[in-house]
Amino acid sequence: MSFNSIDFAIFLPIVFFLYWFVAPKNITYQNSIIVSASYIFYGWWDWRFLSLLLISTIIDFTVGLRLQNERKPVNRKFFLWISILVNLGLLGFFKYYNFFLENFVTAFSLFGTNIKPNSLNIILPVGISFYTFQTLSYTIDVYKKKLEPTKDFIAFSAFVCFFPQLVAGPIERATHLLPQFNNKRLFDYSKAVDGMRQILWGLFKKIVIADNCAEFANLFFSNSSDYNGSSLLLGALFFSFQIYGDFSGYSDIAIGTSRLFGFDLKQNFNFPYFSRDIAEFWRRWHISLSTWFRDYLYIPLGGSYCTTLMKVRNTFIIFVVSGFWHGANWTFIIWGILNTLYFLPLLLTNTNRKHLTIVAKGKYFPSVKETISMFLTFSLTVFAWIFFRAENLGHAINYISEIFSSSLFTVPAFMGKKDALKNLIVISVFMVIEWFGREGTFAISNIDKIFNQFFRWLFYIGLIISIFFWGNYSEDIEFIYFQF
Amino acid sequence: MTKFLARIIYFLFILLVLNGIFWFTANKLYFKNYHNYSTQFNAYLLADSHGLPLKQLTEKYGVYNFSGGGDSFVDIKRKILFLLSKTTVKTIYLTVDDHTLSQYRERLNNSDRSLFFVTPKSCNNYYQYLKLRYVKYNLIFFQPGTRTVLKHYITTKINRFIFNDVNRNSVSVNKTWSDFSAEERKERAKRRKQRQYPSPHKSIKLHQSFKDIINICINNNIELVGVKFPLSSDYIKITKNIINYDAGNILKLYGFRVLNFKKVFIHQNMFFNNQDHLNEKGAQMFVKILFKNLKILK
Repeated sequence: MSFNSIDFAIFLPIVFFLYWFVAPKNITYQNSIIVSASYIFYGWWDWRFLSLLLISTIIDFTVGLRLQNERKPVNRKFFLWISILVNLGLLGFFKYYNFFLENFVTAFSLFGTNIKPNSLNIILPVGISFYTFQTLSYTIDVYKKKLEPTKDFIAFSAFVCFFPQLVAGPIERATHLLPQFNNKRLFDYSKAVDGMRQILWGLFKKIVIADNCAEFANLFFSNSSDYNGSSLLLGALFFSFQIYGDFSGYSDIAIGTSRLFGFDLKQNFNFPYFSRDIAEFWRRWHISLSTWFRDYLYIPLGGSYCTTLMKVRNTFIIFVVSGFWHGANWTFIIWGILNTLYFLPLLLTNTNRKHLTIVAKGKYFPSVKETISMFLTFSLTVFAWIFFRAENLGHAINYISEIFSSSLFTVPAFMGKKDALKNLIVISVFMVIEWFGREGTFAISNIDKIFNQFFRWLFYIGLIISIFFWGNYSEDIEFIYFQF
Repeated sequence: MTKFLARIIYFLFILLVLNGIFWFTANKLYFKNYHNYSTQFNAYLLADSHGLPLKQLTEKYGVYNFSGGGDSFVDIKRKILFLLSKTTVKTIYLTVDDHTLSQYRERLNNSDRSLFFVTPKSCNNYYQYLKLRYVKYNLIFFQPGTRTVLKHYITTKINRFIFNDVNRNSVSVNKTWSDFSAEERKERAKRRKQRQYPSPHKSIKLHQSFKDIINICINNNIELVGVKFPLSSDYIKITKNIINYDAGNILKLYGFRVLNFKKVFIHQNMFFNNQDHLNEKGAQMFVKILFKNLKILK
């Protein structure tokens, strides 16, 4: 079930009603409602993959309990590896089997050995990368004794399959989310109102910004050989806003929905396109994944407290793994490497933690230096997104070659220029709103401090009308991160 | 909680009022006449805008004209299942024009308006039926097609109000195709072709619905007759070498008859309103030809 579907508009009030009115005082009942609702939500796509979710849940719950009772380090390590192998095994099979097979076949053919591959028609279960990482965080934290394992299977199941963030994050840590399932929840009016506001803003980002940009991004990327450099550059720009609107919009809806049920999820995006360098960008983009890699991969590898060579290696590893996490394609790996190359100079000059607060804090406008820094960072990001979006490496290289040809200085030539222009105007308005709301958790989170209730409602209705009139209702455009 | 629910209810009430205004306007502009139907007939003509000029002329021959401007095979399938639940339909005259399986028709159709004809049988389950027939049909906010109509209406009103702008591209209803110069006819036909045939590939979705329609008719012993509507010489000429998505041939493969009237009014531009739509005079002539042919074939 997608957040921008009628099904979800029907589903959410029903679950809300059952949660707060049928089982308001019993945590187990409330958690059971969440588990049932989450399984319905997930099964709406393909009920067959519910079994994978259940396997992950049972394995990690059992491993957690065994880790608590086990004293011998060897045995503890054994149980940890069971969890890692099962979770990553499922992920690896469903996501990477065909990729590795194809690359093995290619590698062997280079040595003159031709192998007939048995490629399987594997369907990628929605959100498998997200819930796998979430459950792994639980086992690793229990193993490291940072967290007491839960004995409540229902609460643990609810933590694994919590429907707002099940299929596209934010990837929550067990230390943050699991205790919330064990505590009594009280309805908080301001939290719920804020949640509704965030849902609305997320829908606007998805339906108006992302899905309209998708039309043009798809047009240029699917037929890149037909367009000149300036049009392709426009295509890359549209994709940059598509992926931001799409993914951060999803996160907003997820966080907002969770707040309606009394849960706090971590912020996943913090105005990344206003970053002044790549290090800042990665502190603001897909925060839950970046911090996951930082805590469970980068730091165990030695992090920044080691020799320069090791620092370079560790940075390289986390960006490549992060790229590979997104999909079984060399384009994602190159995207990861490219980000390593952007990041390394900052790390080596020790300037990677230079910009820790939001740009131009407390000011209306940024300084010239800040504007230039933001522009450069954004340009580097747009360039990297070309690899992320391209079908394969050849496609990405051809796309980039055409952008950097003389046709870059010609007028963009494509059908629907008027619509593209309208789209750019809407994006500009959207970015202005984001700019003025950048000190909040999401762009309109502080609206109650600016407007009184009448104007707030007017703004909400305006947003709904703009979603209606300018939104893209195409059924073909799914959330991008569902495929990961 | 009470405060929250009260606010939500107030807010939803405002949205419902807004929805009501949109619904009322859409009803006046868009839904009007589309939902008209008769259960008194055994034979129905189902086509898109090509069938509209025939109006009620077919009723004389015992056929109810159930065509809707912009109807796709998805909409027609809904209408056929609706007819099956309400009437004793025996014969269906179905458009199999070349563009009916085009991706253009997949984009421009009546998927919102035809929700009115959704029946439990046309849905996978009862939930789907309730969702489409009652939620989606009544909530304009979930209807992209209606949105386009309302947007156009509001933009036109604003343009008229601010710029005193009257739509310069509109064609007078009394003008026939022969009133245009040869150059203008060629240009309009070319534009229409680009619009109707944007891709060499047919729509998978419409192809599936078309096959569903054929199977429904076979399973319910309904006689299906394919009809290709007349086209102007300019349009036939300009679309001569383009891809035909083969709706007619698919129907023939199932053993059904296809009556091809594409060239029946060749070089007779006075029978057309534009490159591919008959005018009133053309419609009167065509109805006679159509049913004369059917009588001969029977």
